[in-house]
Amino acid sequence: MKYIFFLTDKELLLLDLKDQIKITRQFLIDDLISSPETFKKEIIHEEKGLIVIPDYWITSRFYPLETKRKSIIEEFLKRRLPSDFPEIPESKDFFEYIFLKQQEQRGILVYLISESLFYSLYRNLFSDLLIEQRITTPAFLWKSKLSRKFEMDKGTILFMHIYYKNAYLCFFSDSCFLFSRLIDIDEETYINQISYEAMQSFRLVSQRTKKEIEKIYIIPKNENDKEKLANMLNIEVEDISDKIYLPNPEISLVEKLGTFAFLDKSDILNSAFYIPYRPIRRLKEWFFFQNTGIIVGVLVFMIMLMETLFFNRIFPPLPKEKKGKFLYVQDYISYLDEIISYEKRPDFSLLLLKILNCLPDHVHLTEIKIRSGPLNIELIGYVDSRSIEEFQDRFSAFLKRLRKTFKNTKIPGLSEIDIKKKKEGFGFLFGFNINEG
Amino acid sequence: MKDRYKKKWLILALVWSCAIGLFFFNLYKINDYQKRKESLIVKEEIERFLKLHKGQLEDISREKEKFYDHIPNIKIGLLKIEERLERLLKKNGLTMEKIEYGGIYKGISNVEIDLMCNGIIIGFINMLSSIKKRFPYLEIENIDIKFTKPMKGSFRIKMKYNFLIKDQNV
Repeated sequence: MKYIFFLTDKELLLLDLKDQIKITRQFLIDDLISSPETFKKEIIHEEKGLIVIPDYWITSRFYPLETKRKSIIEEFLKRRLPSDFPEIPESKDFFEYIFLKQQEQRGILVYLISESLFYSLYRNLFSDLLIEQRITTPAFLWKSKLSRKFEMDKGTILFMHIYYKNAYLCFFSDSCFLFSRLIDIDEETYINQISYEAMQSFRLVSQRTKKEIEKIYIIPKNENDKEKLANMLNIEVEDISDKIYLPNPEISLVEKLGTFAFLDKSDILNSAFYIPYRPIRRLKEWFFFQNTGIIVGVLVFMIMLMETLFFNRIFPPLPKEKKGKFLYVQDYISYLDEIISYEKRPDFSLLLLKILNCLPDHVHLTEIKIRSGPLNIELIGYVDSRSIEEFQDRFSAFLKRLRKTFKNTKIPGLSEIDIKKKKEGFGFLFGFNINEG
Repeated sequence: MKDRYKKKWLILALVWSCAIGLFFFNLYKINDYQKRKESLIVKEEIERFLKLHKGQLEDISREKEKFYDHIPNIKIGLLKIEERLERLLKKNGLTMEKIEYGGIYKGISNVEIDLMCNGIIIGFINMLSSIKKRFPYLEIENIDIKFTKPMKGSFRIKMKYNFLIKDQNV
């Protein structure tokens, strides 16, 4: 982070944080609104920035909500804030919240920027740069600094910083920033002045929180400020000037920056609470996934690459295939099929001999037809007989012999045979399929 | 920053595309290697089998050769078979009446033969037996016998002549 942008009603100061806070450039707000180009040129390469705005540009509101889910809360505020603050619709992009229990009611305390000047400045200077800006106030920074050393979580506390010609009064309730006041003080009567202003503010605090101020943390101007104020206000006052580190800024810097000048580099950079510009934060949330995705992707790629190299180098190369060998085996299989089909060919000479051997006397064949494929025999002939009984006897003997010879074949019975009366006796015609060679 | 944000998405997409691409490439390589290895194993097994059963396989090859008549030309083959059949008929006391051939088609290595003859049945039976034993490339399909006298008649055989054209110059 190169610069801190310190905003006041009239000026924007560019602060350099290298060793100690130093003002490097000053811009008038009016000039920035009319011609922001000069400013933009200087910060265009910056990716992160801190904008410090006055405490009174911040407002807070409590919303009773049961959920603690970030996505629901943000969606709710995105819809709710523009309706609750119609004069600053951009507030939906600039807010931060903390979980809070207020008067036995759970909810969130939302901090948002109520100053419309901020939005016009932001639009002019930063909106198109997509710089991840963190917006904070001196009060947030002091709260963060004090929390590291003192108990701030419970009770209503006043932080009082008396310096040069001012007194900075900052009120916190249960660790939440309420409001602050900057009082111009007189060298001689400043204790009375401060105590009067503080008393006025106490009323406001008790109205808002229904609680009384319990403790005052003070960075005094003089040694006896603590006692004097404790007596006048009748509240416990703790001098913390020895317990925290306070730089010794130049008067000119204090005049410009006020109490902010008393914060050191680590207080500014390590502050945990700030108001982000939400669209960029949402965008930034993906950076983690992008980076993780790239790293994991590169790792996976490397593993895959190693695997590829492993395959190429470690795996033994396979010998080249000898072509034609497999076909040769296929040929043998077809040769075997041919041999088997040859073996299955019917022996027609044997078939004829078998049929002729079955013929008894008086039974004569005139035609024999043998068909291969499904082996089929058709026999046409006649039986030399004078009567049908004689035909029946002689023909039955023929069928019986056929059945005996062709054991596995179904030889038709007399009922299935076509019989005709002929001059020589009785003609017949029948066929059958053979299931054997 | 907006550009860097976009660039990061591009880098992310590129890195993952490369990684996934390489993953599929490796997957393909593994599968290919496995397939080639398996096929090599099968081929080695076959080779071993062929070596081990060389004798039997040669017998099969020789046996199969018998089912085809190796001829230089189909016309020569048909004339040769006609001559052989005539000789066989004569030997068995049969007379050839007619011999007809079916169509010769390119790429088909067989021709239908329709042979008609007459004589005594025993001669015909002997002829059928001789065809089966001596000419395995002749495949009898149908037989028709018409008896004109007891044990005498006219015979018709339909058979398939299997041949292989073998160029003698090769």
